[in-house]
Amino acid sequence: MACVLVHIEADGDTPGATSLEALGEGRRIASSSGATLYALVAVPRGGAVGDPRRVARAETLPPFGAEAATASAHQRLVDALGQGGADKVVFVDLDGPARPALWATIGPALAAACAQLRPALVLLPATAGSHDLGARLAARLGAAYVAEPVLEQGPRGEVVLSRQVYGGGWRRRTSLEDLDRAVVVTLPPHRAEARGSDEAEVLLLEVKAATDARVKLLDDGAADGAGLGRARVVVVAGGGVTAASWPLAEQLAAALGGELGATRALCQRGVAPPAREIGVGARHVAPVLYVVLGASGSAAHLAAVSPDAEIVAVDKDADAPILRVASYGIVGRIEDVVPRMLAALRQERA
Amino acid sequence: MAAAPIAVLLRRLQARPGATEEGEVLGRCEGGALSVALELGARLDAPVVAISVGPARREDRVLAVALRAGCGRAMRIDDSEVGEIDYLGVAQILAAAIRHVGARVVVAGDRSQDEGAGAVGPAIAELLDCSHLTSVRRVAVEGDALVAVRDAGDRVQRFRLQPPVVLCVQAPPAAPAAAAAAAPALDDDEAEAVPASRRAAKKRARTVPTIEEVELHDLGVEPRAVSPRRTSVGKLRQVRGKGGASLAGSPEELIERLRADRLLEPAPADPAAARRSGAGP
Repeated sequence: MACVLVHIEADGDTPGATSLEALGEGRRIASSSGATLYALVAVPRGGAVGDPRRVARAETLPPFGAEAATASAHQRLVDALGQGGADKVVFVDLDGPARPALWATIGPALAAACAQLRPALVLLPATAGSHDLGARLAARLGAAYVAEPVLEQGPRGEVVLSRQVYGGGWRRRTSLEDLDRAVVVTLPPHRAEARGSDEAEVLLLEVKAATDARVKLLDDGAADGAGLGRARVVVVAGGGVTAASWPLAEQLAAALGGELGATRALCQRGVAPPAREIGVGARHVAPVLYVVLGASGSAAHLAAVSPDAEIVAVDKDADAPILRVASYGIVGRIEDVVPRMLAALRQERA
Repeated sequence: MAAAPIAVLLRRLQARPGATEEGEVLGRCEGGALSVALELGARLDAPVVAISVGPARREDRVLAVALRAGCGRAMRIDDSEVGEIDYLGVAQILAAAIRHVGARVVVAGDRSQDEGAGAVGPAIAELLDCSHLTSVRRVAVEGDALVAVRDAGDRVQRFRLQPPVVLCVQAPPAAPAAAAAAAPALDDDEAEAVPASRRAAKKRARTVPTIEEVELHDLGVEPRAVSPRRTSVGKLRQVRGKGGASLAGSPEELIERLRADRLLEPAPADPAAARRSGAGP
């Protein structure tokens, strides 16, 4: 493998946390396979970060004024990506905005950059736009596509992309060594970042790729349940939770510093707001800790939970299917168990 | 907008290996796609064509649901000449079928419930060289354009799209039971799958057409051209090992175990936020 490329979503001069985690994973794979790691940033012409061409001559710019400001913003981004493990930072000019990061906005430019750099592995942070972007990028490149896998080591030490299917219990595993083509992969959050150096090389790539003018953003507003996607801890309330016990779920989520979600059954009963639904076709989550209160663990629910989440199940039924897939469990009524969990958490912190 | 047909891409929800295919017929997103396609068909006065790939024993039931719900035509593509194929092979077959029926608006489920990759819709758009949008919740018609609401996790976005376009639709929002109960179900199996299409269903389903079976060569698809991508399908493996949860005897013991396994540690500081505040990576 000669080249691993990571797409970076950045807010001005700051790369997104999930992008840096994907970069860290890219660093580990590139190091083990002797590949060069490219961090690619699509930059709108005249945007907050300015013209990437100025990075190369930042030292010659005057010490103040707009040009110096944009040049140093660019340099900060390069530094952050170098420290995150990138060997080379690639800037690609866009003829429109880079946000929201969708195929229509940045896809053609990203594909054109891939056509030039010919990466064997393209990593995208699993953000709201990566699903829109990644699958079509793979199709454009004639590449394989693996959505939100965990990375495992195969018997020969090779990297295996392993994704949960059928709502758990089964994995579809793709070995990077067995592939006869490039692969595009979206990576969920909460992966370890890498430590690189300040010496990433900067590459400015001229690509001719127009944004898709047939897709026009009309408005873009905040959504309820916004924190679920990146939450480190998620408590999910299932059909065993009632309107009376819902506040206990809220308190547990708050005590664990996490976010509260709900299954479709609970949303359909009107106990939980629909924006908090976790499941296929609703929110997908990738927490480190996933606390399930009174949910059976249907395939449609668990397919939306990252397979490397540690599941803790609280259920009154000792035969509940969720207890077969959870790592930790307790059998009991939510009204009895959760208050004691809250008390134990308070006691530990006191 | 000319009343070109609207294509809705459906697929029978796959049972786990070894299990019988007796559960839900349509996944949640496919149900959303069928609902959106029928609504668009009613608004544009356009016929809706349901398209599926696979054997009759698996896919005819899903196409029958689509016809009863109000689709004017149902087409099943026989893929028995090809082996296991990846998302791009499926997309090649479906793109050829969409060209065959002349659809300019294509509606698909955002992600299937079994495999969940969500790759086929965007790949079809690439092969048809048209726009696409994923995570679509609702679609309206405005003149010759469509306006789609996209659920982007932490954002809700609205887009204007000019056909031809592929829309990848999420599940219908979970309506509270009172609202759901107010509308009579078409059929027990289909109640959740097609909640918003009843008027269109009544209008179109007076005579139920039969399912058309189409061969790959009818669509100009060479089986060998879609088959060689087996390495990218991946190998299916059953997860073995944990054998169920480690049960705690009390809530206090559960918290103690989680703490001992370092699962209750506070999240590390957001590195991006740290950088913004000048604290370094």
